Amino acid sequence: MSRSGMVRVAIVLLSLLYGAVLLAGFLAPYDPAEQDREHPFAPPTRVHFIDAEGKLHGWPFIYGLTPSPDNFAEYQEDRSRTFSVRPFVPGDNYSLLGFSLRRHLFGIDEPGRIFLLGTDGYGRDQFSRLLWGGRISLLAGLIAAALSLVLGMVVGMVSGYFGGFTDDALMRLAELFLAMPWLYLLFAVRAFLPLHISPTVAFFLLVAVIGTVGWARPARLIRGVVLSARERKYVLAARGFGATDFYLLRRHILPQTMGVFLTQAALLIPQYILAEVTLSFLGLGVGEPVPSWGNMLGSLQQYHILASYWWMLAPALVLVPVFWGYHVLADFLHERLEFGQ
Amino acid sequence: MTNEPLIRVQGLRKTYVQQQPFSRGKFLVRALDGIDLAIRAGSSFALVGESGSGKSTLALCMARLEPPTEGKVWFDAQDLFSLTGPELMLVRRHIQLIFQDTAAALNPRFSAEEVIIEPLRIQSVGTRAEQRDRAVHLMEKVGLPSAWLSRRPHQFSGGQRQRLAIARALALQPRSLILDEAFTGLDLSIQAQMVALLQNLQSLEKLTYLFISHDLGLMAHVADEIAILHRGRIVEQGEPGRLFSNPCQPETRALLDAIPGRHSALSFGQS
Amino acid sequence: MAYLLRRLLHGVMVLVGVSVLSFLFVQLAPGEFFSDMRLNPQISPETIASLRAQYGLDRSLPVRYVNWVRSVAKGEWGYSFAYGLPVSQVIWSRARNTLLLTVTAALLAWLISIPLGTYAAERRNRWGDRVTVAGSAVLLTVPDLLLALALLIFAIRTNAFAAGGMASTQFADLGTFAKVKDVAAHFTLPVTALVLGTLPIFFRHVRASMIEALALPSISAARGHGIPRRRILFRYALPAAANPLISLFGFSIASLLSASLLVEVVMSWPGMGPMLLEAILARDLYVVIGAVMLSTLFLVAGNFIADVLLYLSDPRIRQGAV
Repeated sequence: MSRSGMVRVAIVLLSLLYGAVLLAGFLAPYDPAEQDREHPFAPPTRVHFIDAEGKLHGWPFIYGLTPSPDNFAEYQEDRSRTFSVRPFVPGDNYSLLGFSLRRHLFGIDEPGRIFLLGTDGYGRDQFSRLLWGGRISLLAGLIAAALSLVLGMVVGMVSGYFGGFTDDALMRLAELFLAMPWLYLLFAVRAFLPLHISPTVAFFLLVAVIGTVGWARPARLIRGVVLSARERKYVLAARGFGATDFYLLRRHILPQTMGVFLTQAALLIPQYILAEVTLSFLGLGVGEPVPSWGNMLGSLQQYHILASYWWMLAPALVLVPVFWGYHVLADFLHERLEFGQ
Repeated sequence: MTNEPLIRVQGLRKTYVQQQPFSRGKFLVRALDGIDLAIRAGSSFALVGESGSGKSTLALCMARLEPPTEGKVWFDAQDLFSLTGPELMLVRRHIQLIFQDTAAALNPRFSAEEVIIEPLRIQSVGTRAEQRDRAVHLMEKVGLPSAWLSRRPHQFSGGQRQRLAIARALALQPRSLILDEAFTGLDLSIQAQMVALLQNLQSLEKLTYLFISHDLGLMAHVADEIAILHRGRIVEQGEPGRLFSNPCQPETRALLDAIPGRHSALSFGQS
Repeated sequence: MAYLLRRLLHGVMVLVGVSVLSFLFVQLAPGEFFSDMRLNPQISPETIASLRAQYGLDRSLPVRYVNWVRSVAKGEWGYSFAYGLPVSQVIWSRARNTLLLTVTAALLAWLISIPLGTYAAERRNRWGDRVTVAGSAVLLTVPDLLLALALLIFAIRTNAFAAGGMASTQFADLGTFAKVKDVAAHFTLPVTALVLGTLPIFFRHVRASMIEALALPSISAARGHGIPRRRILFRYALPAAANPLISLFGFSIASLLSASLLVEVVMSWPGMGPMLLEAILARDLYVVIGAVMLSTLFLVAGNFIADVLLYLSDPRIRQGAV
């Protein structure tokens, strides 16, 4: 596949993923906190078109799920009843753009349950949780990256443009931040903040921590751009017309930093998504009952769950296309930065 | 017309500290070591010297883009370096600098129009419509088609970019232009065109020129008075005719010798 | 020589700076951090009192910092509330295990990526190159967490390698050789996870550096003289590529340390990772600072080793031209 073809695919893929998690309420058949104690660790429901008698149904359908008689941990399909997968079904309330809505993309009549990605230990639908959890993880990555980049931009521009003591001091500080292995640094900052906090506070705290800790590399890179942009003759000419520092920064220097800004964004966002996932996985991030891809993976620290219930890996697997998309974008932007200009 | 020079430089010194890359020592570089100049309004003055003689530093000081270590610069009887605020903005209009590297002097992301009206925007002169009209007017004045206003600098040739730079310099209706190696790197035929354009503009707009160059031969064509710069000092000064026929200093002689086909230059330079 | 001394001094200053920074992070903690400790049943009131006296727990930041520095000078590195021991005793065995893991992974990653990268650089844009580059791109998109979990599943399902921990339960009863074999068996999984995680990055850099090195005019001249391929690679190309590669080695320590933190926790390898996590959950302040300092120390040391290697290998640096 050609390079630009891959970039287009990457953009479409990422848009679909972000779109899907934003529409989580609509796409998910169940509320993420809803438990089904009778079906813990149920495997993904198989969707059929042809039933046991060989008849073709118009709509896809599923069978009921009953625990298997000999092994209580396993399930069997109960072929006595079929449930059609219905479109645009009313279900639990959710809010979208401030509106409270009830229609979901698809659903099943009671008492049938459709678990497209199985359930966890509490019988919660993993597919719904994947969508809702994606909001947390993907958005955390995005907002934290924006925070790092804005901080880095401000520091980089001030440092590079004004130079002198401020520049020295800021760059030495950056060096300290970069001298620590980043995950240790993240942990250190997280360590001293309150442990037992509500999921909402945890989300903002997480974003703040991940975002502020990562300002150093963007700052250094932006500073480099500013240093060379500052010396350009057209900047000198503008100064000759009486331009203020602010004008020069805004009109001439800032546009030059856009290339680095975008490339760094493509590199940082996946790293920060992973940071959220890692922290939540270890219990230091967003906690129950709010799902995030990280805390959904948390139960996998127990080996028997890890080995027996493969569908619980879904949050980790979905990271692969996310990473791929951002890597392709980063490569593309990096090349354009080096040679385009 | 008064006898008071438009631009006067008195005792200008510029030294800066340079760090030797391989050793611990720092040493002082005397870029300008006591410069005195007087340029009459409406005239063309040339500063000629080899690279490293301090030419560009002098240009920057006189355009108030670099502060001197010592000395003063007077523009129209005002002390350039003691001005601030709106007075400074006004005087800045009247001293415009044209650089050697045409590509570097114009922001590649700007359109030609944006390049020309930038000084107007910085000094908040005129409405958008007035600025646009002015851009058209200036393009034509420097001999470029106004249809090219939407093009980017890299779409112009070197000589055309220099015209664009001149158009930008004229935007605020300055009284003087400092041209720092403005012709270096251009083809001879283009150089001739530029000289013609500048001379034309000088009489139209009543401009005062300060040329800075290493090309003594070319300066003889354009300047009323030439000063030879060597190691931060003016070693000799005078009209082109006198310098060519009666050079006093060895540096002057060296520069004269560097002119290709010197004898032909002699016979042309008398007009 | 002066260059190396300067780098060493620089490293020391970085460590001091990081220690101050870490203490500043402690300032983030509202008063509740220390009251949390008082609620912790493991810490007796007498301990708290004596700790407060010795470390100035409730005192101002500079006092605490100075007390901590004194403790470092004594070799204790502070006091672990959870273990009731000086931090140095708690951390050291864990640090050894982490070093064992990271150094082995780093060496292996280099040992694999240098030949692989050279191979790809030589066959640039031909089949061999495309395959390896594609493979490395695939590995790059798999996050470390997934890699570790996947390897664990594989190990558990196939019973191929010992999964989890550093030694089996009968460890103490085994003979010396059997002990080594046991640790090695437990070792394989985390090392594999780390190597797979860093291999693609190293590979990319080696390949890029070798491509540049092979494009040098000196290489074409050597070829023109009929010098055999092997010799060209080892005596001409590799040394030319050495400078950026050694610098990369320094940078890679940082990412390896971070990756090892996660891998250790997931695979229960008793290194600094699980200890740090434990300490955070137990609010064991000085252990947290100790772990951060130690990991930074490893990083700075790694960079310094890279500086020494560069100094030895690049004559331009020796002459002070850099």
